[in-house]
Amino acid sequence: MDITEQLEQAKAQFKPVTVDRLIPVDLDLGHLAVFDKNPLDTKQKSVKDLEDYLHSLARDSAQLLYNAVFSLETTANEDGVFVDLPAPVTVLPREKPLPKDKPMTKWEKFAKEKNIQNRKKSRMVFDEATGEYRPRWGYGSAANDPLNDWLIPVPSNADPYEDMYAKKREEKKERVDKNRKQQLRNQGEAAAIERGVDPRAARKAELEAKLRASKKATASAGVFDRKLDGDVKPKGVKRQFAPTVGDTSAERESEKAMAARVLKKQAATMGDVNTKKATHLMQQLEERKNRAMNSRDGKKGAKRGASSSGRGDKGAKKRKMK
Amino acid sequence: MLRKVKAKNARTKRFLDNRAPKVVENAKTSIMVRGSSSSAVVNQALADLYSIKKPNAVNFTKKNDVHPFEDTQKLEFYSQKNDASLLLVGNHNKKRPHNLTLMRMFDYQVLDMYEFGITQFVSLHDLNTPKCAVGMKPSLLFQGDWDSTPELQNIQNAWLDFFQGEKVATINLAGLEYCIAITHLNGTIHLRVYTAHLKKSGQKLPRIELVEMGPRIDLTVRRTRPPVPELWKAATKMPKELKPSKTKNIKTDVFGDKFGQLHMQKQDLAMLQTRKMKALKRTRDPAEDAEDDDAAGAGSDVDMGEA
Repeated sequence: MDITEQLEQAKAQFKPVTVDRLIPVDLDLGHLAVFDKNPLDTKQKSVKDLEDYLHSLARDSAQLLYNAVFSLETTANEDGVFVDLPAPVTVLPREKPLPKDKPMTKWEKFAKEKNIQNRKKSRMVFDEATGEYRPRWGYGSAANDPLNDWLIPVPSNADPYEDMYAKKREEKKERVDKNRKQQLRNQGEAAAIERGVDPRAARKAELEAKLRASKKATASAGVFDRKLDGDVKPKGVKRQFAPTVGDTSAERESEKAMAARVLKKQAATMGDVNTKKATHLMQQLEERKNRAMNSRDGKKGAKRGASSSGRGDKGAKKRKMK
Repeated sequence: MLRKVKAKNARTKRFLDNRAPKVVENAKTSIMVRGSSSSAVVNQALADLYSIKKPNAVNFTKKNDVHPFEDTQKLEFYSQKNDASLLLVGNHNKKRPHNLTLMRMFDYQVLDMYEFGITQFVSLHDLNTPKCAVGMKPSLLFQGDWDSTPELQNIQNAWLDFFQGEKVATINLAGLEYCIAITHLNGTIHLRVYTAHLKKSGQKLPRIELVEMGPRIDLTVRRTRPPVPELWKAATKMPKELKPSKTKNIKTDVFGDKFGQLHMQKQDLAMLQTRKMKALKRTRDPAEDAEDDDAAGAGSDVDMGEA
């Protein structure tokens, strides 16, 4: 009994941390937000009363929020005490649409199949020989050290007159080219998949087209070439001619479509042209040029005309400053 | 309007990848824009909100001929150029004095717009109270009736989005420095910003005392343009990486033991692999057994005879 009294006394020294509300408040700890739906006292006598009322309301809501946050699981660190916030409840709109799924590259497919995990390797590795940390690859690494091949021992089965240093350089070049080719292949495949075409079929079609073109790329356009065994005569594409008389609606449609394509491309490059503004600007340019011509002698006027036209586009200047 | 830029080196590639659509997005940047004519109140309000939203904010100090509710092309351009999805446009004219428009963008196109009129404003420079550090995440306190109309709900969502700050999963308890209280009372929205001070309370939970930091802004709602439902739906779509994954088949009982059901294919019990016992190798009838016994017996007699 004494102890409880003492505890009560000790507690009474401090202000309370509990808040009584009619309707319990909604907490969205993921956003550190509290939504208090209790009806408010709408009659405030003066501005100061209103401020005090708002202050007390805010204090109570903040107390409830902080009580909830401080009741979460804490992890102590040398930087401080951290809490794991739960997932947010309120749905807020994203600023950009969802990213499109990129198709997997050849290696990624293989790795998934064989369940190969990607383990992150650190950039610096301890080098036993020097006793310090060196990069694992690239400039300054133990493997790439130019002093490594101060002497290259020639193996017994190798050609004694072969330049080993040149050979090393060639091998490196080949590796780089191989990597580059693989990258291009992956990019081509991704592009084909995005277009909705099977990449293998696309590559095959591309090869066949190149082959056809190379067969024609002789002085006689492939007419007087010796034929190889097993060479298949390429299928000629016959030109289709529409009938000159009869129903012309199909031709009209195709012409319309072609015109629309051309105009669409034009519109895309020019954008929505504000014709009023454009004409006004052109008028201004003309007037300025005329004024310059009329007021001064020819040379100076021309010079001024050139400089004023450079500064004529006010919109562009504003845009540059942003 | 902006030409598509291709990365020519690793640095620009990193820059473009940062601005590209991502699963977990960056914190939203805001632009504070002034209209062709704006008042001192509006300018100061924009400056104060900019200092609260730093570093995720850009302050345009020059005047721009922008009218959000008439033409949004310029504002969409600013949004794309600065990679910002929140815009606060301030202007002042006879018809709409001390006007403040909060705009949200989705994919650099206008998602929704809310126009407010500032009826009372006290700058944070006029309140000689301690201010919090730059870039802290605020606690948001919404008070009053925000659910009565869908317009108010949208406005609440917009202000929550505006003041949200960085998206964090863990937070340092010492970093809960300030609170923003947005109260809806008598048709006016009262925006107050306070610094939070934790006092001893004799228990684990601290006693919170608030000191007003400023600014103090009272707003009345003017025109609004709520989001188009299709655009809102596209904007609130959650990527499947962030959807909570459901664990099936795993149950925990009162004692904390984990239970799950193993689903097996149908087994042919006749073909079960067991220990090989020669005696059980083939089916034996009694007649065969007897024969075997006799044979065994005869054999044994003969052996004994010889020995």
